[in-house]
Amino acid sequence: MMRPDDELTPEERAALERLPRAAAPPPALEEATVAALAARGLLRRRRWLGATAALAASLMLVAGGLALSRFDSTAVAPGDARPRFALFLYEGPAYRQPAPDAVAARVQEYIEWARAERTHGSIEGGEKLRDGEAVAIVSVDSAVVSTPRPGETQLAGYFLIRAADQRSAVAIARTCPHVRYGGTMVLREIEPT
Amino acid sequence: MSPDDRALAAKVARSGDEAAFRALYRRHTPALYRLALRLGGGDEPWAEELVQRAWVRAVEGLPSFGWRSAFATWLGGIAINCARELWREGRTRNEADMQELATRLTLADSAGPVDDRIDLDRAIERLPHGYRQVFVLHDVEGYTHEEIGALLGIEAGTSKSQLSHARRRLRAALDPAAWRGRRRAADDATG
Repeated sequence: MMRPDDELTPEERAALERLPRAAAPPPALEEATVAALAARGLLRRRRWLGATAALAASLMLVAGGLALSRFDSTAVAPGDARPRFALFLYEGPAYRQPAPDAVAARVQEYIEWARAERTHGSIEGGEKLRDGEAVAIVSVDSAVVSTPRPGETQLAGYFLIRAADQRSAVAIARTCPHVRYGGTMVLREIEPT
Repeated sequence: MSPDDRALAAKVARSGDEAAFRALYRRHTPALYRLALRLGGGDEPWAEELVQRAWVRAVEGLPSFGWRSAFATWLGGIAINCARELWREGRTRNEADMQELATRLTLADSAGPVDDRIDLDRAIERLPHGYRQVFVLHDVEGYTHEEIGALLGIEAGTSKSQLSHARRRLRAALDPAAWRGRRRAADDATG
């Protein structure tokens, strides 16, 4: 197939031109790069004191709901054959923080939601992820570590849901106060084992 | 209108402006990351390390950047130099296994239509890195042999020779349909 002049054919040239010119880098890479530059004194990090306080409050809300689901034991019946779902809660810039004097009420709202769903047998449990901790993206020969910045979208916690099917699980998820305040959630069915 | 590269770079160089850097990063990293993946044979951690190293070098070098080329071109050159460093440090994945590639492509063909771009990209990723870097720089990125020679510290003639070997390997590994693309397959189906 080698041609004497070894030039690309028009078809080959066209195939190369169709190759994508961009790829989405992993989100953590931006933070890792900014951190590397800041560590060398090449960037000045912005101050986020106000946002830090607000973020801590918002994560506390999730903690309230999740802690309730973890410790309340009036829960799902043993032998329940319904599919299980993982509901991941994310917080980002769109999450509407409560005013300082409304934090307690917001916490109570999450607690009431989790308690009600637990009573209905819809929530099996959940955990809050520790906020402000370094996030490591690990592969076989590398680990990229970065520290999430306040205001950056991050995974805040998760619930384990029991529901008849995905549609029912979505219906449950949509009642969570988290979405009303601009949080986002990802629902995935858990593979039965 | 968003600030141009020069205005953003000036802010970064002058005062370490984080927002300006993030704007530059988001504008140029998708292309840089794609280049890194191609140079690294699809090795994502390697590509991430390359991107991060290239940005650090770029920000360090901003005060002396003369703007005689586009920012993206300059950044690409820095990335290629960083790739050479990583290769010298032994940070590279195993060389291509062309037999495995041939087997995989055969299986893919038997499974139905194949996205030619994906197969071509994967075939490029599996080239030995000496061939791959010249092929990517010349046939994908559009550098001349003289430019490649300067970037890689090799003679232009060596670049031409490496390119010839790379093209030969790709032609041997890829079914001609992968070069022709799906349009031909669609024509066959309708014709």
